[in-house]
Amino acid sequence: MPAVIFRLNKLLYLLSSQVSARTLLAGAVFALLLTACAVTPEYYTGLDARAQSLNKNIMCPICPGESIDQSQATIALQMREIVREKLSEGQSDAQIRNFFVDRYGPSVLMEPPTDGFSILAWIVPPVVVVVAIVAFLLAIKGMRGNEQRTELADSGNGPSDPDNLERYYQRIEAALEPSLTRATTTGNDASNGTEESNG
Amino acid sequence: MVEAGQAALVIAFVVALYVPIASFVGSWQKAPELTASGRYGFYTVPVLLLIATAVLIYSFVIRDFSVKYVFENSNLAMPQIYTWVAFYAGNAGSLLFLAVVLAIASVIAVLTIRKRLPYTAPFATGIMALIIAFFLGIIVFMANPLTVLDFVPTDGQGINPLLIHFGMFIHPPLQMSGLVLVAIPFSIAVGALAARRGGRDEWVDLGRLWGMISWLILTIGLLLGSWWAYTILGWGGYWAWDPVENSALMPWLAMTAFVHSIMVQKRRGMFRMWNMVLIIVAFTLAQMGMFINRGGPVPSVHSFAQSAMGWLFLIFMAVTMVAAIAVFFWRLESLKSRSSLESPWSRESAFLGQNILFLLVAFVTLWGTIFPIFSEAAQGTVITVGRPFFDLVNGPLLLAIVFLMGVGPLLPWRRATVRNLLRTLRVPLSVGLLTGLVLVIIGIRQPPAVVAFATLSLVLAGIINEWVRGTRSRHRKGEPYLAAFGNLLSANRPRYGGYIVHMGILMLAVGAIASSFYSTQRDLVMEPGEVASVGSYTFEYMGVEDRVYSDREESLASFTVFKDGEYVGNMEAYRAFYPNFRIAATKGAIRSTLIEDFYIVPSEFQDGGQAVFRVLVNPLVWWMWASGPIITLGIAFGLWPVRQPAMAAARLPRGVQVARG
Repeated sequence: MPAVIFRLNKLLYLLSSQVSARTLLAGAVFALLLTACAVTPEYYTGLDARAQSLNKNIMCPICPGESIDQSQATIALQMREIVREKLSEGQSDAQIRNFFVDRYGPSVLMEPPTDGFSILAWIVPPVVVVVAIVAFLLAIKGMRGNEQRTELADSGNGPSDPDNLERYYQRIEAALEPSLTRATTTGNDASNGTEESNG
Repeated sequence: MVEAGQAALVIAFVVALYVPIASFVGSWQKAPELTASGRYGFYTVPVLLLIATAVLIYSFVIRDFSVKYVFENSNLAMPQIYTWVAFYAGNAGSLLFLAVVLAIASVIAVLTIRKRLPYTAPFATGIMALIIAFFLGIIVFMANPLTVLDFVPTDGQGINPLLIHFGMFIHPPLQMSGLVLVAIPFSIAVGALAARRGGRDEWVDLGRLWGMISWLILTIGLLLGSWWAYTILGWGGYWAWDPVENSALMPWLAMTAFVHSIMVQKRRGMFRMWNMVLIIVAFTLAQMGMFINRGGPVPSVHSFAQSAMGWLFLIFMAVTMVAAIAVFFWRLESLKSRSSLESPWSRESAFLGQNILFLLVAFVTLWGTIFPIFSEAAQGTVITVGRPFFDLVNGPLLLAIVFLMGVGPLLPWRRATVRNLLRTLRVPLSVGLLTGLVLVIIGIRQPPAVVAFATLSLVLAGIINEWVRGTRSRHRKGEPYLAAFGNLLSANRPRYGGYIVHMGILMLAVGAIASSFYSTQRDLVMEPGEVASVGSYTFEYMGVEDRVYSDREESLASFTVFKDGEYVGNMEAYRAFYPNFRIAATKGAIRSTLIEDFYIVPSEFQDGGQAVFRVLVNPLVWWMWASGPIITLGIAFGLWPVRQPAMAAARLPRGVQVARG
């Protein structure tokens, strides 16, 4: 843990060399405010918390799609009671889950099991995520490859070119409101690279 | 009277079939008279459907139970005001509602595109009419809301009691409208493609406009649905990754990707094929939503109509998808990008990354929703894919989206150098890191929560930093701060409207993250007069009062509530039982503040007044509901018409005076 904090400090130091004291102060105040909003102590831990997380993972057999934590059906109430009893008897989470699986079958668990065919439910999403990332990188590479070819076609002077469009809008503004535009155009130049878009 | 409505439906169906034929043939044969006749025909469809709707509503109002739909969805005890809800409460009525909404919006859309997209408009009109014809076909042949019974019952069966809630006046119609309106940007896009206009970006503005409108309606529909679940379903939550919720979320995700990605085409002439793919995916998912809602194969709490008709929706979905893909490949040549990606460190690639993340979330959601079907087919047992799965898999992806929401808009178009990357990102990144650090120091030990809050602060810091810098640079040019801020926002409405929407999304995310990590929940068994404490709240259960109404038996529990020892008010919660429907509905007692909600919901009442209550303290939930107006404001701000300089004026030589006005 200290090692992590040390590294964080170093990173923070590196970053702070880029940041003025005032921004830092504003950031700190802001962070504190947000933190104040975010902190709600966890009042109950132990048995209650365990019961709740178990309840959230066990489905109510007669109300499709709802966990016994969520459902207000009588059977869900009874099942919550069973969870509680078994917990106070000192059973482990896995034991309790197995108890319900034996009684109602595997579909009583809210998440697919990690064996047999059901493991596909867990494997496919990460595989697709990886494939998508690779596709994203390839697409970026591919699109950059087109650069030379399209550069030629893209040298038109029409207002459809975004840069020209920019200048074009400015000219329109200038024509419409001579007094205002001096401020706008110089403002655009003086400000940062994020101000450029117009449409 | 009823016969007139039935006739109107049949005529509307026939006209809706004529319109695409006239439009397509007219375009191919270059016969403008024919396309015009198609268009005029199209204008009559909403009128005819409004007549049918008026007849149905009139039958409700005069309690004409000889109309089967009125008999099934209302009774004498129902207050007249619920006629509006009863109109779409059942399957046949909701279909008519979908058709009416789509017809009205389509005609407005046709009026907006007719002049500006002369080549695309006939095709778009034809596609919209085909979609409407599908709904009307089902209405006329399978589920006619104006079917008449051969006897006249003295009273109707009544309305589903779960629908008697203020949220039900708005949530279902918005949700249905949102889903069905995806058809309009879809029709415009595919119409442009069919007219060989896909490569010219003239359809983009109107496609974007209609895309944003349907996106907004979907968003508000989802929010209101969650709010309804929170106040009436009685479990203290608002989102459960239920199949019907998922089916409404998926098109929203695809549309979110589309309304962002379309900006890249507008600004840079890129992603032309990609945008077509996105809108086709979005429309397919929207149809999927309607299918799952209408007797689909996945069990759910929300689905309101079970019937074989679901499969017709599935077939129609497959047909439109295949047809759209066919048009896509047929016109592929016309979709070459005008410019190319210059650097991975650019706003374009951030947009692309965002698109892919949204599609990934949509895919995971789809996968989880339909996996039970695969599993049943493959091994004979149904497997539940529920909330824990979605939280675990979609959670990180959504967080990555939030991160991009902070970074993406700050990146410049085309390319960013390392130096200006550092310059634009230093403030948000350092604020994010700092927040994370402070959170760890003060004792937040759940890594996902720390990362999530740090990311949110990063995004917020990015937006505020932009606003402050922009305002300041204008102020330096002599504008007073307030005017400078106003001018800054209105100088680039799409951009700053977008930031306002992002602010709303942040509020939503703050509420969602806080309430999923830091909600306190207790189930308590209490006798009248008993006092209990949850968190900083102490409350006394005063007792229960049983009331019998004509349609329900209600048990009303009352509480006196104290926070930190101070009296804050009385609260009431009830559990009502509707014998006719054998449905119990609960209404929680909610005390909502900016910081947290105190929420009591009765689970069970026993004899002698003993009761089981679920008591929750949900932090920051108020912010989720408040995000709706902010998002609406942002969209309205971004879409508000600006004076658009006519392109022809660009050819004026420099220095020519343009008259004001």
